[in-house]
Amino acid sequence: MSESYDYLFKFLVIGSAGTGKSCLLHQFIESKFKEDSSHTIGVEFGSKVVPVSGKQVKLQIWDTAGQERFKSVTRSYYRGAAGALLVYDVTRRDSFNALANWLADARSLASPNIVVLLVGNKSDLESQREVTFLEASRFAQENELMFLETSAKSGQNVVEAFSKCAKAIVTKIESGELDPDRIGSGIQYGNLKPTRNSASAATGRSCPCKV
Amino acid sequence: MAGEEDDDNNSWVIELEAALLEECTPSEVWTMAQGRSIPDTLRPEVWQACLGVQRKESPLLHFSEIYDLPEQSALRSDCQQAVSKLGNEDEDKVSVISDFESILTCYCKSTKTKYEKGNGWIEILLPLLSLKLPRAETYNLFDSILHQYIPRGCIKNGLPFQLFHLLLQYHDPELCSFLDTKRVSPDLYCLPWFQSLFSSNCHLPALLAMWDHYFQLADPFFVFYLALVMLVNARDQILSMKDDTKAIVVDALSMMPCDIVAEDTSDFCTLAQYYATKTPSSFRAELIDAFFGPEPPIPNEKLGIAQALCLPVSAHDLVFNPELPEGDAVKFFLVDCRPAEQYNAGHLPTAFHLDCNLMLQEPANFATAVQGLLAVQQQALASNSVAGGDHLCFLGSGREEEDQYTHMVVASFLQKHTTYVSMVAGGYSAIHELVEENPVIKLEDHNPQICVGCLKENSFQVQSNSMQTSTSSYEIFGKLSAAMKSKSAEVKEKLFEYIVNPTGSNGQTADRHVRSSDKVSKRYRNMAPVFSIDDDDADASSLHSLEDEADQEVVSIQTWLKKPDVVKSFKCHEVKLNGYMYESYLIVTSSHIYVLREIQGKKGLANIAVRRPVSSIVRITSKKKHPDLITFKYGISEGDKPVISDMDR
Repeated sequence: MSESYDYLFKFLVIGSAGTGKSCLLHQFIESKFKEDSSHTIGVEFGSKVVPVSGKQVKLQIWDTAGQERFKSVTRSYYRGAAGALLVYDVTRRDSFNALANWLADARSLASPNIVVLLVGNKSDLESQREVTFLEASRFAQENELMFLETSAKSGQNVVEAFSKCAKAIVTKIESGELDPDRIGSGIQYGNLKPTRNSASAATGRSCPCKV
Repeated sequence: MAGEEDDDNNSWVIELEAALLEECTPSEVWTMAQGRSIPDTLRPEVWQACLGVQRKESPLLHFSEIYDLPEQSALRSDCQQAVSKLGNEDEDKVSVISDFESILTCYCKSTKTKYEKGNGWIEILLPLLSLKLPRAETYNLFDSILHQYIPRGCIKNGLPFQLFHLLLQYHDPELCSFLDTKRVSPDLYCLPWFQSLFSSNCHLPALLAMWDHYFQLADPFFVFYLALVMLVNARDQILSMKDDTKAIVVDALSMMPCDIVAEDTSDFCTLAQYYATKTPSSFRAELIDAFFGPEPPIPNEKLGIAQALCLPVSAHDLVFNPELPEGDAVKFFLVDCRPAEQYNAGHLPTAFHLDCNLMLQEPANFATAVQGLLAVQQQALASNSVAGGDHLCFLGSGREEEDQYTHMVVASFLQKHTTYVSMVAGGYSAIHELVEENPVIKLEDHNPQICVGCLKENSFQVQSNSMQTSTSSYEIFGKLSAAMKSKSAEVKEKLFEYIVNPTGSNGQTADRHVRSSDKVSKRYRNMAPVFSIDDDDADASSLHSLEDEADQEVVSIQTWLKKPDVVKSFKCHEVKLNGYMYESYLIVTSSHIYVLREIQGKKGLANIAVRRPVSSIVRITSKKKHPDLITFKYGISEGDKPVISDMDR
């Protein structure tokens, strides 16, 4: 692997179907908007190294399908995620109303400490807006989430969303609130710290004794 | 239609007529009629025979004629509406309406079910009425159709539609994805089709012909394939509705059966049968009780199919499938997606290994591995090997921690609109169980010490394992020789001879030679992961780059071929892990085995790509799915494996 990094974080992108999760990921990784995006089958995957607070952080991002049909498949990806983008569509109230369920899933299936950033996507469609910024901020505050409105189409706030979430995790590591060595933390040390390679964290998913 | 047929083609009608005088089964009718449209005069009897109600007593004869259902008024008005559309004479109307109401009311009472508006019953009754049978017999036909052919759970997002979704995805993933993206779920357009066997949307002549075929075939799942063909036929039209709204798409889809005319039904049904033969049938066993017959339905959430990513195939069907006699049965190409160490601890002999972790760690290599997979699949198909098949069946471990990666790989194939994608239900655990029950099935490289399936069940055995190791490698070599013997390729046998002889122990046959070498088991155990052709794996590719860059001697091929100690040489292809093939010469000397790789553009010159002492060869195998590929495995320092493809064939 050519790229070097200090940390590797496992990230989830979750939220109702059609909120633009895959487009956010695509915009983040390719820096372009994906026209004609079709629905996600099961899960897609992407990764990118971003600079966060002077560290190189590799984000390993799991973009899950929003459809109910894939619940049993997508749930298996929650385990051991360090951070999540919880996405709703500002033009669709139903996607906002479903947030509480998605959040409960993330906290129970991933980890109660998972760092979640609420994302109100499609902010470019101002005229069709059904969920106000204020209302969403209130939801974020009540549930201790960070919050940003984004547009996967224009690219507005997309990188910021991922970086902000990553930054919160780095801060928690540095303050000792998060222990990267804990199995299932979703954090691995990268190759810039050769003393502790990623093998220890990797056992979290490959060791057969772990159920 | 009958008029178009020649006289000699009509002999079956006479035959059928005679057969109908006695009891006859759908399959007997099928042998005579071959799914053809039945003449109107024979239809009532044929349907009764096919639906098994020929001599059945009808509950309607004992019906109390008391019309006191809670939903009676709704039922009555629906009957009136339906009959008024028929255009009967007024005096007929009253009796028809009363027949309708009696049959439905009696059905509700004797089966303790409730009539609901738009549940398809009236649509099923209408074509039955056209047979002009006594109402008691009409009742029996109606009752039989509902029980045998209408899947339970025809509700919004019901199980039948989830199955249909998987079938559509299996055969036309692009169309399926298009409709999903439009949020057009199958229940929106299929529901009337399924609950009335198309009678709600088809014109009567077409419908009668279709039902003729249907009841002869007696396949309760046939409606799924009819619906599938309906969609796939119209795929271009559907895909062109890219900019239309969901409602327009739904309307267009719902109305499609209206376009079928009687002349089309034969083709239509034959196509549907073709699709049925091109579909793994494991789901039938799982769902038949949930959909049809008298049993109370199993709660849907218990059925794996409800949330399956793709069509499931049972371990049994996968393993025993090749033994099916039918020529055009589903043939699987098995892709084993478990981590390399699990694959190396035991796998089915036909399994191609695709390491899921590559997708995460090295996406570029993963893409190459997938290309390699598809290439091997094509080769296997072309050579008609038992491991070949156009149906990609993916195998996970059956455990969530690894199967999340398997799912990811499967999803990536679906995302790319790959057709014929299925997964083994229960993964390797299910296969392992099957192997324990059926000693006939053999796993390759099975090592009970590290095989997850074995460890789970016999953890106590792991301690005393020194014996086991030798046994397992013993078995492997036994199998190796069997594999070698079964291959008739002449060159390969020669090769084997030459390789066996130089090391010259007392063995005469291949397996004895290997067994007599007492170091084998140890050597085998000390090996780095044993790679075979399929192990496109991160480590292997790094090995290769080493090999590629390290001391490449340029030599003249002719000089080498003429060296005195050359025992035999073969012109061949060297196949790399990444699927590249190199024009090469395989040269066997009394002490070493060499692969000379021709340098492109410099004829007669070659690099020495491989130089191995013959004594270091631990295994020589060839895959059943591609008998031309011979894999050499060495027991020194690191596992390595040039794969030689014989050119002489």
